[in-house]
Amino acid sequence: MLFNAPEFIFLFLPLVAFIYFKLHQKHLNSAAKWWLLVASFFFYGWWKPIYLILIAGSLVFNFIIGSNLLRNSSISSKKSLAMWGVAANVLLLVFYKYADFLLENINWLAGTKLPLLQFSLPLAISFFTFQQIGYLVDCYKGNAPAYTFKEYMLFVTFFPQLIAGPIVLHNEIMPQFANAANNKPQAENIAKGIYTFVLGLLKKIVIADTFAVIASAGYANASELGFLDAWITSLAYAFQLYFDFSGYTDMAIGVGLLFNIALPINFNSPYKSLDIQDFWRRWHITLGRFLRDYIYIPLGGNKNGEFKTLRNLFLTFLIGGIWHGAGWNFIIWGAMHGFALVVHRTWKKSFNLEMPNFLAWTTTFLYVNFAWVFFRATTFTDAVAVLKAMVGMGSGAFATTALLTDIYAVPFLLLGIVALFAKNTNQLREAFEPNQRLLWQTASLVMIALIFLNSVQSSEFLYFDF
Amino acid sequence: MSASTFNRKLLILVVGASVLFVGLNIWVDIYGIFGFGSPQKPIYTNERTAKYLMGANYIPQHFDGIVLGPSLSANMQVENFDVAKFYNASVMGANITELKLIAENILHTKAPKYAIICLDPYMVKDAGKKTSMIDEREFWGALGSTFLIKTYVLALVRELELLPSKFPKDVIQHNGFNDFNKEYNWQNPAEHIARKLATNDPIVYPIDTQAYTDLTELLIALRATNTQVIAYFSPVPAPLMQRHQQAYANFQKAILKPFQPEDIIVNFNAPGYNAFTQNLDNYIDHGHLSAQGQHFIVSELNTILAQHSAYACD
Repeated sequence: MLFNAPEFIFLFLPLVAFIYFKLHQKHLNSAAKWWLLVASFFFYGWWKPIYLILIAGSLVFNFIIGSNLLRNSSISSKKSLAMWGVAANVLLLVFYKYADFLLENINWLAGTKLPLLQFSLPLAISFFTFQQIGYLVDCYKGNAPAYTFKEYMLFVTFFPQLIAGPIVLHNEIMPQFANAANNKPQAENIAKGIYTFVLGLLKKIVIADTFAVIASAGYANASELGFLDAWITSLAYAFQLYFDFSGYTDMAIGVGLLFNIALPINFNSPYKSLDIQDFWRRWHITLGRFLRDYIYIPLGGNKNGEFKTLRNLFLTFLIGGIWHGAGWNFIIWGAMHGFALVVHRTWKKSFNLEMPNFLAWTTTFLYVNFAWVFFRATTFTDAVAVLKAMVGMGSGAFATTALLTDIYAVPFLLLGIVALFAKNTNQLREAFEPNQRLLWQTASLVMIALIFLNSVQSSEFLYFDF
Repeated sequence: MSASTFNRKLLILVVGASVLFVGLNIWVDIYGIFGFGSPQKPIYTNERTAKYLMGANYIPQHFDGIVLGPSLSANMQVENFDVAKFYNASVMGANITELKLIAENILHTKAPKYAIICLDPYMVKDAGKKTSMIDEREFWGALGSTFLIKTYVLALVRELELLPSKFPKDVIQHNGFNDFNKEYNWQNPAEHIARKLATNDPIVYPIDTQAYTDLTELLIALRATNTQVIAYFSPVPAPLMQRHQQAYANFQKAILKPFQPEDIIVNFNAPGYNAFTQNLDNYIDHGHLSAQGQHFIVSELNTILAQHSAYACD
């Protein structure tokens, strides 16, 4: 079920919220949590009911491992159990996400013709697997309380964050569910939640989907692009990805607020970054946090000398690239970011020179934009074709465009560019103070959203592919 | 303002604004879906969607004949038909699948007495919707959507002639007549034909299997509602026909298979119409007819329909 689907906005969400708070009102607090769980499973199963078995199995497995880790006092057996638990989760991910990529490469290298498995990627598997790996590690370290199975399921499957994050930590969300003050609807959270949700919805259906048309057309004709169209294509995707993913996160946060649950922020105007480290503190923040806490630090972090620190940085982001998808393009993208972080750290340590802000911003943005080409292009050849065209070596016309043909899209494209440099949704939400001006503003935004929702256009969220 | 008051007022504002907005759109009823507004509804943008939506109510309620075809028949002056009040449901660039969808909408409400179908290889060379513009969800969009707002804006621009060179007034009129040459300004048919001959571009294409099925199903649906089918082969300029005569003859043979004896077939490429196809004043390019050319077609079809009407009464 998509957040921007009418059945979610007008049926599922109001019904779930109403019954949830009604049950709490009748002091049926346990039933309320069960209701939320049922709703979350229903939300997940809407896409493909059969994969409910997969997520249920994953939940049971990880809960059992986690519980045993918490009970177990022997360090060696705890370590062994944790390793097996994490390995099992990784294997599940490898099986569904990377098996065909591995088989393709084995076939290419060894000249074999092993058949591909061609399993469809279960929705959200990257997210709920990472979330549970984090939980297992916390259990191993003794940093997790002994949740009941119901509580554990709620932590993983709470529907606003289930499909595409934010990647939530158990200690972020469970205390909020346990807080009795959150069992009653809170007007301020409802107001902020609606405001945040609508902003996210508009970012997705107005801005992201407009850029998507251009980006898709460009990447579908990668080998025919000229200089101008190559830049339009790459920038269109950069904007599409940001508005799509951050829009989704805003909607998730907004929905969470309706249930009095504050989900962590995931984006903080990443395209305003002045260096690559800053970028990763602003882009997909919860993924960056996970990579730092569960990969970079366990690898040794910055504790074992400069060379190993740089190695760990590079490896962490290489793994981050692999997490995003099964393909050499994603590995290249991850490696590019790992490399950039290595260069950035080395530069900072070696030279006491700061770039002027404009130069720093331009360098960072252009580098990130170049890297997105690998992220989006379907093949390595297409990525190279787009990059070549961006430096003037494409086959298409140099300074004319075949992509910007819809004059009616121009206002939305301009809106997107302006929105990139304006206050972001988190900042707007923090400054949210119910008053007349904001009332009219919110009402107008809701009306615009309703009009767009009722317009013929179909889209899915990009991060559903991960 | 407290948050509770904010939420309450927000709900009232949004519900109120929605009711007003939807109410306004129903009252304006730019596609004639709800039976309100002016009985004469021109089209201001997006011909495909507009004619599809108008097929639900406006066309069947106000017209008793329809013309179906691509751009070749879009500028047919249907007001000159005598036997019935026709709506020109032709769509620029449409194939038979899209025309069938428009026709089905019309037939669901009220079957027309006559359906004139312009036959040309272009219409059946491919099948399926060419764009997302013909979509059932557009009916909900008629209550309020970005397409509807765009239509309102262009209605104002066209009616007030704010940008007459780009958005002229009265291009697609209330009876579906599409005076597209106001926007395209095609001229010099001899040059177009010479270019077509020089590049040896085909004018006949293999008939798509699904397109053939769609045509067959359309004919069955029309006959089932007692609609008189009149199909005509759009006249091809003589120099082009000379080059592609055999291929065209094969096309005609193939496309006529689903037609029945009760259907009226008019072949404007028959030798009897040589004087027409040799006179390039009847064309604006290598196939589209000028006003003069369409006038002749309508006049001929009028005669045939009148004879058929008289025969049917006997």
